[in-house]
Amino acid sequence: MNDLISHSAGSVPLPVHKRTTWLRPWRWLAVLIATVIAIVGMYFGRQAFLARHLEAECRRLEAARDWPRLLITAQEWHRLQPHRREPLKAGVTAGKALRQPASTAAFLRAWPKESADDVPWLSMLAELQLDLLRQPIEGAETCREMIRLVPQDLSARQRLIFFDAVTMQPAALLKDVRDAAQSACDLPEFYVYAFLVDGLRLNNALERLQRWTTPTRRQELLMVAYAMHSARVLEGSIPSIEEGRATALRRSQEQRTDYMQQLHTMFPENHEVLAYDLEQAVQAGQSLKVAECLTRAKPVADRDHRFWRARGWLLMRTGDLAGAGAAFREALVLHPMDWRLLHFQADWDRRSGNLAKAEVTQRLASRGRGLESELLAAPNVRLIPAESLHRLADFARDCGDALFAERIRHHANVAH
Amino acid sequence: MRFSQYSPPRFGRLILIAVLWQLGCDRSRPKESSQSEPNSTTAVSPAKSQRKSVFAELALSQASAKSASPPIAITRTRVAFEDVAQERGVEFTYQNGAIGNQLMVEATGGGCSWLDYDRDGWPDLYLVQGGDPTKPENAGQPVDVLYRNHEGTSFENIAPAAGIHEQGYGQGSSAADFDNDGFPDLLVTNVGQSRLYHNQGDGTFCDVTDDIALPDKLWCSSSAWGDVDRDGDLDLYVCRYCHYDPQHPKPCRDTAGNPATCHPNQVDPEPDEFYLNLGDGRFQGCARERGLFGEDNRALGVVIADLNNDRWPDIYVCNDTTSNFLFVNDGRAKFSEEAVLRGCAVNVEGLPQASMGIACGDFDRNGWLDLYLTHFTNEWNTLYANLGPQGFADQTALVNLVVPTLPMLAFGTTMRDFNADGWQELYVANGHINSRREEGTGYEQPPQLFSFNGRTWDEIGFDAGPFFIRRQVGRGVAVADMDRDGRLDVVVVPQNSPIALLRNTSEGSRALLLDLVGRASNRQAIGARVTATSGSVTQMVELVGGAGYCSSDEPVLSLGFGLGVERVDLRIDWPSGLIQTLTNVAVPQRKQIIEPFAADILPTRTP
Repeated sequence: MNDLISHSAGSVPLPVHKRTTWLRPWRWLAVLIATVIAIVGMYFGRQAFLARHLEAECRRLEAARDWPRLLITAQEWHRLQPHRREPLKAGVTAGKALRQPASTAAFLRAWPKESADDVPWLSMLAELQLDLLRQPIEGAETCREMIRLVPQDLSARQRLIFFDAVTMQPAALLKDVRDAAQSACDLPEFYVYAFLVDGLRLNNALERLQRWTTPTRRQELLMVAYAMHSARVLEGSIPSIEEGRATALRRSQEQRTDYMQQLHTMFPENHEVLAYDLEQAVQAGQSLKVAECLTRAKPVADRDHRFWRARGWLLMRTGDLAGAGAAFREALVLHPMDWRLLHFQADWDRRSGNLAKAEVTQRLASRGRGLESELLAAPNVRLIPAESLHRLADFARDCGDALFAERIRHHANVAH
Repeated sequence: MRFSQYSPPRFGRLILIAVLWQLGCDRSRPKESSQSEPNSTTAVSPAKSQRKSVFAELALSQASAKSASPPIAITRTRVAFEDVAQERGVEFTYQNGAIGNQLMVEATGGGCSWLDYDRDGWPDLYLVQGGDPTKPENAGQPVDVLYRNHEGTSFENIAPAAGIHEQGYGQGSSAADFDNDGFPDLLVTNVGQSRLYHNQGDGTFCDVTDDIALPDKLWCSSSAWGDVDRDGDLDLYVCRYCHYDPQHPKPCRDTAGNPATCHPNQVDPEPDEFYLNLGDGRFQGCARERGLFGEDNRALGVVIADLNNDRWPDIYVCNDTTSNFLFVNDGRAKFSEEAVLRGCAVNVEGLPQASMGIACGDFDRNGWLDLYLTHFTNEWNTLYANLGPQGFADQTALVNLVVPTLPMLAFGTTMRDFNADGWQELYVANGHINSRREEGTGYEQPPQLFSFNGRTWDEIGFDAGPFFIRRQVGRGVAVADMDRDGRLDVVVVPQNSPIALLRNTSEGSRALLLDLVGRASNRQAIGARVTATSGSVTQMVELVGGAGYCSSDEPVLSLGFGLGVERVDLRIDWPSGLIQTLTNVAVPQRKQIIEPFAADILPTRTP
């Protein structure tokens, strides 16, 4: 015992000390963890409680048709549970009941974009953005999300392609129409838009653009499209009788020049304005201006058939037949039904010494031109007769666009 | 709305800003257009927008290398004309009879022909007359006139003495010696019965219309003579415009309900006719059999010329608002329509235009005949450059001819070297078919004159005399050296105002004028081609059939060489196939060359 005591006397504190230091941190840690767990538990419990409360409150308010309070409660609920669809649904219900499209859209914008089930809500959002909210660019983006989720969503494709057409984005239009064709989710009018992409005149485009363009949102895309459509509509309204035709043409040109001057001042770097300049320069045979326009092109022009077409024209003028041919081929890949390009191609064929091929190409170009006049004369793009669609299908086939030809033929047969 | 304060998009933007900050995004970068905004359907990421387009690789210098080739040095001499019509006793006004009904036929008439009908060596002038298109021709209508040229000093109307009493509602005329008797005959195209007058050689003409069996009651416009089968006599191509009876006109109105000239597509087209000269004084209509037929044409202009250098005459037809025709001769006087194939059917934009008149010449001296077509307002007149075996290309814009002609509605035109400097000029007669009162101009428009400088065309009318500021409703234009001073003069027929007899007063040198007389070939040598060489410069001219608008020129070839050239070598390709060469021909001079018999020269016939 003494030994023990004596032995332990020299080493007493050690075991005791060891025990105490070992126990103390763990105790504090345990307390800390317990506290955290308790706090977190309390927080989540409260959150869950709040969520349940807000959910119940929303149900009650919805039943009571107390839309203003439902709107606020739904907001709080969404803030609490941002990944749940129910609060958004409640908010949308309230927003719709209150006829507050902005509020409705705010909830819809937060809607998850994860599955096909989300598409009806996104569709609602797109409709609001493209119509009441005057947010067409956002609306088009919503349509793209919808198509990503459900490639067979025809209404999304319809809205998107109409948007492309109205806002005069040829490259986007051609790409979207081809996507639609590849998904076999299309309407005959898509192909009419695609075919007429360089000379499209929509009866309601100006009205639509006017509605979309708000004084507070000076969106370049819309303003440029408005100016372009104005010019084309003016041109299209020229009377067929010779009397007054020249005057109308002159006025239209003057007005168009005014529009374009304004656009140049406002948006000197705009792609469409540059494309317009480019086409004017080609028409006027101004090689240097064409070259200058091409050097100013942005990467977006790489997917624009008009720039390839102009490049081919320029290279042909400089005697680079090989380069011109390559440029025309690029353009044809992007827009196989471009009859203007076929006309240049015929010239290229001639200069390459292939007169027989030039004749075939030129006749195809002339058919395209005739078809363009025919389709532009239709009162409505949705009222294109089946015969015209058949002709369009034939033209697409002869241009080597088998996919378009097959899809147009399909619609023509249905129309019959 | 408070809700938006924590909406995901804003969160996204904050994150984006933070990321960009981390990446050291340059704030000074210019703002992208809306098409590169994230929301745009053609979005381009900021990083991507730094990348240049593939088009930027196209060096500007590459484009400028050829187009900015140095202009050819030319000693320019002023081109000038003065109107001497009144002074020379030519007081004639083509009356279209318009009283506000805007009949289609009122818009197109007014042609003329130079012909030395009495073979005194001085070109005489035939002018068609209009009248009241709603009345029959025997109802006291005004008559056509034939002015005899008294050695260039004065003109006298001798139509009655010559037995011509033409009362049809005239459109145009073309003179040619169809029976090779040395005396030029005359075809008059009317709205209604057209007529062929045979020059009897005694100062009188007789109507041989029945022999040619010209169709009755058709609206004929331009016509052209040419030996398409190279059998030594001249055949005839007649443009018919459309089905339209001015006595029972189709009513057309503008959008305001006022009477308006019908658009061509509101009336049915009428196919043209081709008359093959049978050599015994008879003609045979055989357009379809010969392949001279195309769909939906309303022809207003025609030229017969060798457009593909195979020495066989081809036929080019200007159609109003539809594609033009190029009938290529296969060497057996059978034709195939190849305008599309050869690139002269539609303009550079692939669009058919309202084609009226046509000028034909080798403006770029490449040895191939080019074509210049006149068109409607806001459609520029088109220059189809003949590239050779590759066909034609619309080079209007490349040679600066688009802008000047856009405001004009042009009909008659001619391509000649008026100042004999070796490069061509273009005369264009303008005048609208509808009144442009609202613009303060009415129907009248000033004529235009262009000169080729070796690279582009310059408008030079403002410096060519007071006539070029005179507004008229110009139609027919025809060229002759009326005073035999070695300079080509021009007669211009406007509607409802006195004709202009434009005496060429250009400075500088005189031309080499060639009167060709065929023997194995048709006597007038229509279709003959002359290639002149002076040092390193080679020029080619052809005596074409038709051209212009509803008119025909004196059948003389002119070649200019500028100052300092005294001798040139000539090669003449006769329509018969005979090739004749002449060396050290003095210039300037007017020279008659008679086709030699084949035995007299080396037999170098073309295949």
